[in-house]
Amino acid sequence: MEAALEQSTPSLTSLVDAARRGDRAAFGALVEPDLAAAFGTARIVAGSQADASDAVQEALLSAWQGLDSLRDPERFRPWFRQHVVRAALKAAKRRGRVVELDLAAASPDGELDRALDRRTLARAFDRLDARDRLLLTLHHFWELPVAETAAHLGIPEGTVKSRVHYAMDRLRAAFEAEERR
Amino acid sequence: MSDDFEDQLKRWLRHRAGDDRAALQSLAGNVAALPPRRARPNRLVPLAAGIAVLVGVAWLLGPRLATVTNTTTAPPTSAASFRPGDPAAFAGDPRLGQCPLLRDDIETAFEMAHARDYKLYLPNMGTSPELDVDASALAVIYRVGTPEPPTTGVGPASTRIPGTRIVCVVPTGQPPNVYVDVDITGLTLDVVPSSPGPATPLASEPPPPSGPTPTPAPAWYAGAEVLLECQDGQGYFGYGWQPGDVGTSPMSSGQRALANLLDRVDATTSSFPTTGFRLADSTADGEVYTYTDAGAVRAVVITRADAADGPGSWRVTGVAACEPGELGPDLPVGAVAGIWRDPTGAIVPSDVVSETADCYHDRMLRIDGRLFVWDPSFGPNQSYDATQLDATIAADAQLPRDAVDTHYESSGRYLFLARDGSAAYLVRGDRTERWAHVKGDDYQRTDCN
Repeated sequence: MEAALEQSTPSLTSLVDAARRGDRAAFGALVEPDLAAAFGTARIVAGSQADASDAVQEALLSAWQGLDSLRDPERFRPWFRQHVVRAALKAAKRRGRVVELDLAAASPDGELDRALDRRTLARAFDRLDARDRLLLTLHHFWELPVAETAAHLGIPEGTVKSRVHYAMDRLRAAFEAEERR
Repeated sequence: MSDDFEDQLKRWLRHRAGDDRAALQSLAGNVAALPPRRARPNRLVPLAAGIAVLVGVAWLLGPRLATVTNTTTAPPTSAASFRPGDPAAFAGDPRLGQCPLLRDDIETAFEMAHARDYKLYLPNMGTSPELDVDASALAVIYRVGTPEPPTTGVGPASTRIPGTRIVCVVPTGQPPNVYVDVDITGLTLDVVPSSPGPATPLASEPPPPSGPTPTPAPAWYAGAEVLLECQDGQGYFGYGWQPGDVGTSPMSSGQRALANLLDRVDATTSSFPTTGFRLADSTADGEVYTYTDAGAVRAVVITRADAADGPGSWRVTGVAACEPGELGPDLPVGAVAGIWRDPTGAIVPSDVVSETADCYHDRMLRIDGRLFVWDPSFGPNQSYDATQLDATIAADAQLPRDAVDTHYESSGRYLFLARDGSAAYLVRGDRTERWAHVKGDDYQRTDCN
C-alpha cells in the first residue's frame, strides 16, 4: 500500500489514487509542498502556534477524509489550499481577536525599533476581522493571483481588489491608532 | 507610518508565519497517524423501495448457488459445512436478499455477532456510525469490478477507486447499508466478538461535580454559526459583507446594535437579510437574533454587552449566514442569490457562473456570459416577455436526455444546460426547473419599482 513513493516522480494522479486507497505516505507527499505555507497562513490568520497547528491538522484530516470529492487529481494543490483556508478561518473565528504577543522577538539591541514596529503591526493586524486577515494573507503572504483569491473567498475578482484596498486602509488606520497608544 | 507600508506588511507576514520546523515536523508526523479513511457514505439507503425490486430481479436472473435450498425464505443454513466466508452458507438468509447486487458477484459473506464489530473484521473500512448497533449483522463483499446498482440521484457520476470493493452490511431487522470503494485489506473472519459496553461509568472517569452546578453558557456563545441550519451543512459568511465593515460603534442595547448592523448592510449587493430577524435567546449580557426560512435558521446575529465600551454598551459580535440561495426569495435586486461550486467543492468564479436576484423574486443566471432567467410566477403573468426568451420557464420540467451536466452545484441544485443552449436546468431531487435563455443575453426591465 505504501509503495507509491518508490516511483521516481509519481504524478499527482497516482499519488491521489494511492492516497484514496489509504496510503498515508502518498498523502504526505501530496501535502508536503504546501505544509509550510499552510502552517504560516494558519499562524497569521489564527494568531497562535497552537491554533495554527490545530487548523492545519484539521485541514489535513478533512482533505484526507474528503479525497473522494476531488474530481481532478491534478487540482489537488488548490483543493488542499481550500481546506487550509477554511480551517484557518474557522480557527480565527473560534479564537476571536486574542493573539499571542510576539515579545520574544523584541530583541533589546538595535532591533528594538523594528521589533516595536512589528508589535504595533501585529496589534493592528489582529484588530482586523478574520476575513480581512485571511484576505491580506492570501494576497500578500501567499501572493495568490486575484482569480484564485476570489475563488477561495467566493467573491468576484473586482471585489477582491476593492476588499484588499479597504482592508489595507483599515490596517493603516489601526496601525496609526496603535502607534498613538 | 512609511510609504512602504505594504512592504512592511509583507515582511511582517513572513515573520509571523515563522519557520517553525518542529511544528512542521510534528504535522508531517501527524499525516502518518491519520485515522483510516472513511468508507464513502451510504448512497443507497434512500433507494430502499427500489432495492426490493432490484433484488427480486437479481434473484430471478442470477444463477442459484449450488447449495441453496429450494426456498428463499428458509432459515439461515448452518455455516458448519462451509468454508469461512463462503456465501453459499447464507443462501437462504433473508438478509442476503436485502443486498441490491447480483448474488453471482458475491465473493465473501460472513456473520458478525454485533454490527458494531465491523472494524474488527474490516479494519480499513473506516468509520460508519450507522453500524454502531448491537444487532448481529450479515456482511457481504462483492468481487472486484462489480458494478454499482443504479441510482436515481442527479449528482455527478461516481468514480470507483481501483482495488476497492462494494460491501453490503445488513444488521438483523434493519435496512441494508451499502458502501462503495471500501478498502478490505486486513480482512479477517477470525474475530472474537466484542462484549457489551459498560453499563456503569469507567473507574477512570472523573467523579460527578459536587456543589452547585454552574449554569452552562448557551451554545451560541461559541459563535453565530453554531445555530445555523444550512442545507449543505455549512455556513457561508454573508456574501460581500463582513462584520468588521459595520456595527463597530457600541450601541445602547442589543437590539440597537442589530438595527445599526442591518442599516449598514449594503442593500444593493449584499445577500444578507435586512429584515425578518427575531430575538431567539438572551442572557444578561447577550442576545441572539435569528432569521429563518423554510423552518430552518438561515442567518444569525449575536450582540453582546461590551463593558470595555462603557456601561450599557452593546455591539455585534457574531454574524453568520447560509449560502444566499437558502435565505429565501426576498433578496435585493443584484444580490448574489447562489454560490456555485465545482465537484471539488471549490467556488466557481462569478465570471463563470453568477446567480443574482432580480425584482419580484426573479432570478438571473449568467453562465459564461449567457443570460438565463427564472420567474417563480411563471406562466401568463410572468415578469419576462416570452418573445425575448428562447424557452418557456417551468417549475417541473423534464430534464432532456442529452442535457449537458456542468457538474456545478449550489445548495443541492445541480446545473445542466440544454444542448441547444435554449435553457438551463436546475435539478434538486426529483424537481427540475427550466430557466429560459434570454435572446441577446441582455434584458432591460421596466417593471421594477
